[in-house]
Amino acid sequence: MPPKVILEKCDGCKAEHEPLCEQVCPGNLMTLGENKKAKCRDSRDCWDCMSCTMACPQGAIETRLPYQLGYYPARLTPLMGTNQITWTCVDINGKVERFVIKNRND
Amino acid sequence: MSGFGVLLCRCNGQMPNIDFERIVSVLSKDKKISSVEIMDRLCLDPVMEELASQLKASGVERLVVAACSPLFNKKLFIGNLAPVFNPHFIEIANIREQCSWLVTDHKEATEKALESIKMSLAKVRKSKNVGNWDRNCAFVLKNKCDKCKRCVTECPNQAIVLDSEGFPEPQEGKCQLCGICLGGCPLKIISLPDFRLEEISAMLEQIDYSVREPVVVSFMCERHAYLELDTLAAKGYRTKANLRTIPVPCTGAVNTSIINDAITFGADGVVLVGCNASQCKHRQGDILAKARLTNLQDTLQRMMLEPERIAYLSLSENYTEKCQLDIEKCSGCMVCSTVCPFGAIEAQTLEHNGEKRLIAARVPQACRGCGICAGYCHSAACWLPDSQDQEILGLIDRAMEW
Repeated sequence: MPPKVILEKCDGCKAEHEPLCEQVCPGNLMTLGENKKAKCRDSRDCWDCMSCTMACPQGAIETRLPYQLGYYPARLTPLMGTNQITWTCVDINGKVERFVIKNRND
Repeated sequence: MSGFGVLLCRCNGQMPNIDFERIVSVLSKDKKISSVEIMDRLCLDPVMEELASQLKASGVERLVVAACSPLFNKKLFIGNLAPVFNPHFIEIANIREQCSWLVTDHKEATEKALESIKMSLAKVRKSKNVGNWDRNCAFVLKNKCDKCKRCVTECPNQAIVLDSEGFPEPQEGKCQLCGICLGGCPLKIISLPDFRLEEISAMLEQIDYSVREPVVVSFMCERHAYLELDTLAAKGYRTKANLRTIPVPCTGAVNTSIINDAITFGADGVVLVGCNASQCKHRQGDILAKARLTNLQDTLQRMMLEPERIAYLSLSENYTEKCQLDIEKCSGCMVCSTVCPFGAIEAQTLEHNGEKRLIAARVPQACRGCGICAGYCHSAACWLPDSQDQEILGLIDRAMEW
């Protein structure tokens, strides 16, 4: 499912040569579009690793979950801390679950 | 890592509602703390000299001083102890203004003071030279940097230039240690000599979030909002005990990862307290902080958390209220205009039902809030909102409590 860029929040990483989502995407799918904001080049090739969602400093990227996992109303949102990430999972019925994963940045 | 010392100063008896014995007994049980001591009136020269010689002999390597506000005394300690103590290993816990004075209840003030000391201990424990203690400026960890150049564009003093490889290099002369680069860096790799994200995160971990009252963590800009809160505490202002304050160089220095840490650890609310719009000493600290908060509020909403949990508040400093005039009571005698030292009063004619009346109108731009006119007014027609009888009586009451 394609990463969706929230255009009001994206600032194109100050239109520097490579925005953070482009730098981090393992499939080379994110790039700076014509409106100087991030866009996904080819949504069908995205394999939902969510690196772009986690890397974006403005929190401007949202990954849609594929229908086998939850489909559109369901959401998986990371909240990036200094050495842990708080994941919030909202399922298709609206039930909310949160879990904290330490990512040993120190 | 050894030798953590805690020094408690009881001032001159200005902290009557803090139970120092309890603090000493709780801290003494912690095996990592090698010495807990009460020394009174630490700011006096002879006491400071004795302290310096004691520290040299005791083997304490990292020190937490629990006393009055660091805005008063930090330079004093660092200057006096510099020959024997690394200044980066000294941390001041503000237990006078922020704990003893802001919170009335004895038990709550003591608990807040204890938590304050634990937070300072955590900060000084994590204090580490990542490479910038010899240079007094921000430091970028180049091996993790991805050259996004956000720090370069956001720095209010253009103090960051690119080196030969394209990595950002903060310049020592221009860097004002505001921390705005630190607040914006998406990879969290910038640090200031006395302010690192790991240290602040460690401080947040020490807070007990499980108390029944909602816990609010506030990040206050040191020179403005924090100073103003200290001043308000000295004037007699009181808050609830659930506010935990962390001083930051500028609200622009608060990285969203720190706010996220606070929320993850259990804080019920996070507030960034800084200057009013256009008053920020670093020009864009508050603008950047507000923009980051707006983005984060949207993320919180997507995460099914209330966006109202995080907010930006401005606490402007030293703002004196102007003199207010009650037009009905003013008799137009103009005595006030003869005594006003700033020429802030002028005669104005009021027309009412065909009757003309003279009143002594105030010129707000010239008024400095000195209150001399209010002292002279026979008709009790003017007053200073800041210095009402209530406030002055309140100050007297508090002084009598001691």
